[in-house]
Amino acid sequence: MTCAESQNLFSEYLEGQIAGTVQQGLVEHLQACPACAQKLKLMRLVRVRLSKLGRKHLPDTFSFEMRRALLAEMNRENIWLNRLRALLSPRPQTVWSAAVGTAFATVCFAVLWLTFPPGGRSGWRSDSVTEIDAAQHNQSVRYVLEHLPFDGEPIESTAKDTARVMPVSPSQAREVVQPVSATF
Amino acid sequence: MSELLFVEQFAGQSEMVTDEELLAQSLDGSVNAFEVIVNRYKDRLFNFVVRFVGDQETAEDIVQETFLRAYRNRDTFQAVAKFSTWIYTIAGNLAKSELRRRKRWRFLSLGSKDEHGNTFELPDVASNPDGDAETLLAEAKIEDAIARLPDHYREAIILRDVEGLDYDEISTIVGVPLGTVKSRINRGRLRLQEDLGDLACALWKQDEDETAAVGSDL
Repeated sequence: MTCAESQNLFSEYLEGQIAGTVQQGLVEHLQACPACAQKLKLMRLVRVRLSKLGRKHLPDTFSFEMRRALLAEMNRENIWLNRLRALLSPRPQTVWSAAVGTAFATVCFAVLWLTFPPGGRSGWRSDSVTEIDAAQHNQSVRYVLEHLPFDGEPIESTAKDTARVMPVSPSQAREVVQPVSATF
Repeated sequence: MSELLFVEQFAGQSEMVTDEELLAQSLDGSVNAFEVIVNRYKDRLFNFVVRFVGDQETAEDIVQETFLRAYRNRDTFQAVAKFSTWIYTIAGNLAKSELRRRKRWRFLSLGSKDEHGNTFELPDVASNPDGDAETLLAEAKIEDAIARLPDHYREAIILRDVEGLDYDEISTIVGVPLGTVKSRINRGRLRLQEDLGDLACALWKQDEDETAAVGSDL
């Protein structure tokens, strides 16, 4: 056993936590190495001195300050607890009823608004192209196609192709119309 | 008045009531039950914290904050651990936060204090005629050597050798495995005796002389 190995075991040896061959090896090393033996003796002494170090005491005012702080803490807890109780107590039932009634009325109004919107269009549709938009654009594209000449293309087939892509969004409709007006 | 009576009643019975039972009573809003806990642990925690942070005023604040945090979180305490372990853990964490804060501050102030930030001073022997002057000086040097230990060695040494906690408890409080605790304690002790140097040898001789004197008396 080397000096470093034996010193790693000093604490456990002093506290009686090693036994058997490990302890035997340490004892043999200590008998052969006076430096380690002295270190062990000093460690034992330091340990005893540490356990006998004078106790330090808090000032007398500590208990008073502590009590005051604890009471303040308790009051703070009680404030929150009372607020919670006030909120959940049966007395303000009217407040709860009013809140639930308002929420129910809001939901009903929203459902009605979406189902029967004021303009006559259903608010449930999520796409941006409405039936009216599509009809208006169909009409305008049809007008352009009917009044402008095409090079060799029968008007019906072009109108049919254009109609096939309907309904289209306003920007798409403009793209369709744009090349026609460019040739004009 | 009724609170005072309650505390007096508790003073008589407090030895029989466990920490966990007192904590349960404090959950029902009894500050007095918690005060019994405070009285049980205040000095132990103070001795641990004051040696760990090395400053009496800061240690007082940390001990007070420890109890307040324990009170605030008393409903989260789980009986799987000992109450003493729990409260030492809170105190240790607060002390470590304080030491980290000081290190940052020391870094920012470019080391205006000494290397270890020691605040221990040698005791005024003349003002304490009851104490043995040599013993007081020796104690002051030992305290100083403890303060010079690295934080992790110091915490383990105080908990083991000064406060007398067992290794398992220390492992939980410090939050490291048992083997690491043992290693830290052993290395801390070796460092202490190296640091104490001549004082340790003088104490050894004194110890041997006392033993020889007792032997000759017999």
